[in-house]
Amino acid sequence: MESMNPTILTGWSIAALLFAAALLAPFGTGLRRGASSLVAAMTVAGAVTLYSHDVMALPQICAALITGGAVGLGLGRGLPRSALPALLSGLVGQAGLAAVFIGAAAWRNPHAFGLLDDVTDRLRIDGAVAIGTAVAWGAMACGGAVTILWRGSVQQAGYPLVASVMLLATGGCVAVFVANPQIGWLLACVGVALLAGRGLTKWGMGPGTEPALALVGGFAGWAVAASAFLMENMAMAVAGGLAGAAGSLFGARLCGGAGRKGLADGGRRP
Amino acid sequence: MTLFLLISFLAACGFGMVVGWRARPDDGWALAAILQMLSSAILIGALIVSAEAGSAAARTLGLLGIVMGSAGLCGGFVAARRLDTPPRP
Repeated sequence: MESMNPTILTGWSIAALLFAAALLAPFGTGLRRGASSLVAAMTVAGAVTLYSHDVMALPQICAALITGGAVGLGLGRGLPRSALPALLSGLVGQAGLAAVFIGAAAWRNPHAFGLLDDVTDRLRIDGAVAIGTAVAWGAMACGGAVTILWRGSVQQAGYPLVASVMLLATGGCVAVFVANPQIGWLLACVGVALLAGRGLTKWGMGPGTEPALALVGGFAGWAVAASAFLMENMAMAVAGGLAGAAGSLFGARLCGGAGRKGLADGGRRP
Repeated sequence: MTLFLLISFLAACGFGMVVGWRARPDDGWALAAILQMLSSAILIGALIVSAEAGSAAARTLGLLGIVMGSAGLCGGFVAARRLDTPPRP
């Protein structure tokens, strides 16, 4: 393994610990503390990222950060309390869409991220896998969030078989994109993944909106993790792994055969 | 570097699975709020894309990603604080 800058390593480790602490914060009474930990972790990770890269567009980046922050604060404070679940769904879908944009940007400009093979000048296989996976999971999160917003609190179970077939089809599209990294196959990945996210979320909405939203949060987490391998960033890998594993398992537990039964030991917090 | 990333990722997955396995159904909204904020880490990737991209199209996509990630982080933070506050009578 190549030697790493100790400042970057320290920053990534602090961010990773804060991410984990946020997920450990006791739910119900510690949500506020967990949210503060997450903001601190993101601040550390962002500062380390800006420190470790040659930033060419700092004014535009600052403008985008301020614009996004203002929009988020306005939405968070302005919407009524009853609309907060819908807001969370929309923001998770937005994170998925951002992952699609990042994958598309890396596909459009691969040499900037060192994704080209030195000999053949083609997209490397690991880069193509990371791009295809990030785009597919991001589109699944987007499709799932739209499904939750569209259906609201209507609880109607979907068909797990259809969702599984669409998930397999998404994997197939990603495999074809890896073999032949053209824009058409990337768009096919997006389209099939949107349908897979819709199908899985409909299946997850059987027991309620919370497990479906956790499932969609898990999709967005996997998209963040795939983007982390694309950008070689440890803080993103930790955040994505935490969100992906926790959201997917929680959603699958509640949506699976057990439903809300068999969770008597859930009172013991981690 | 990839091995280091893989080890960190797998450790995070293990930790996340423990949390996902032991969370109660009543914790659904709180967990969803934390997951939403965790997925806002895509902001870091968008920062890297905007900082490193050479082409205008890629940089524009990165800047759009920053706007979305920043909105997700700030909106999720405010939403989580409001969810933690008991509703007014």
